[in-house]
Amino acid sequence: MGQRLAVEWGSATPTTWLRAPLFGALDAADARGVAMAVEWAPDAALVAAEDAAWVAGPDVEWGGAAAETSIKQQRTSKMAGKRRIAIAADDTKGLDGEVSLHFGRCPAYVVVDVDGDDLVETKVVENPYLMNHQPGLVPHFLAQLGADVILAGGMGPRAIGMFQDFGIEVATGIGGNAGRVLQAYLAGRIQGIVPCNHDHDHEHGEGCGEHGHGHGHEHEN
Amino acid sequence: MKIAFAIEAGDDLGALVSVNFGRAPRFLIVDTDSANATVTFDNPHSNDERGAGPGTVGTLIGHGCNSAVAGQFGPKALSALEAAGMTPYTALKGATVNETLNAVVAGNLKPYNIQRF
Repeated sequence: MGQRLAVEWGSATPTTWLRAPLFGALDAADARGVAMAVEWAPDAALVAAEDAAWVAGPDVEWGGAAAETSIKQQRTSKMAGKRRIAIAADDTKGLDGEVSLHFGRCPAYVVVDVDGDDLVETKVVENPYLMNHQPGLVPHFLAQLGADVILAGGMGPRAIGMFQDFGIEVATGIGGNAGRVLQAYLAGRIQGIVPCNHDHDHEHGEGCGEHGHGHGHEHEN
Repeated sequence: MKIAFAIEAGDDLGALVSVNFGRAPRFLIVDTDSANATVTFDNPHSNDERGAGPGTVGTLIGHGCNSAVAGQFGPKALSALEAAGMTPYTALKGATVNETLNAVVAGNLKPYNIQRF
């Protein structure tokens, strides 16, 4: 299941990179000098800790002042299976272009079908709401396109909630070249992941919620 | 420096940080140069249909804030903060102003940064 790693909060250990994400999981009175045992799984565990501590609500067993907690792994480090990933883009250059900070007002989305880490198909879809974005339109649009994931620069909690309602995983706080962002996402290196908020036990790579592959959308060629 | 915390409610350092920035119900501003003197007020932009983020940044500029703390920032808020020269920090679920303030001052909480690839 992964190594068990004992950390002392605030000390200058390699685990200080756990930093703030786990801070919120601690009881205020125990915030300093608290020894925690963190059940760790490869790679994406830091991502899991961050998103668990904030949005998804941690699966934390809290032992009060004893402060022993284990954070249940929510993501696996290697994405398995087919996923459709939408990337907010500032241009129409596809994976050669730049990721947009504004998921709703960007000119286009790069829509990438992957199978595990392999790229199956890439297309550029123009944003029909570029000039008249209203809350809720883009999440619905991307859901209609069959997106499982949206990668974008910034996103507020309301928009995140809307994507979650459509069962779309959100990754924010990223920028730069779309192709490299995609690779970073597939490698589990993106910190700003907000998982779907369905209750599920299956591996995340199977697709989130009830809309895995084969849910009837048309592939444009 | 003056750090603006988006909060759910309350008037003191025990207040919970709000997940929202632009639609945070209230703000608490701590002046670390004045023995952590605080100012609190209801956010006039919390019910804005559009542009709550930039509007809120405008309000904080009026208070002379250097940084802003909330759970999450939308893209327009981030752009406005950058234009205003204010540093965003993302706080954690359930964190109080006091804990987060200590983490910022101690350097344990780093500014929110876009990961660039």
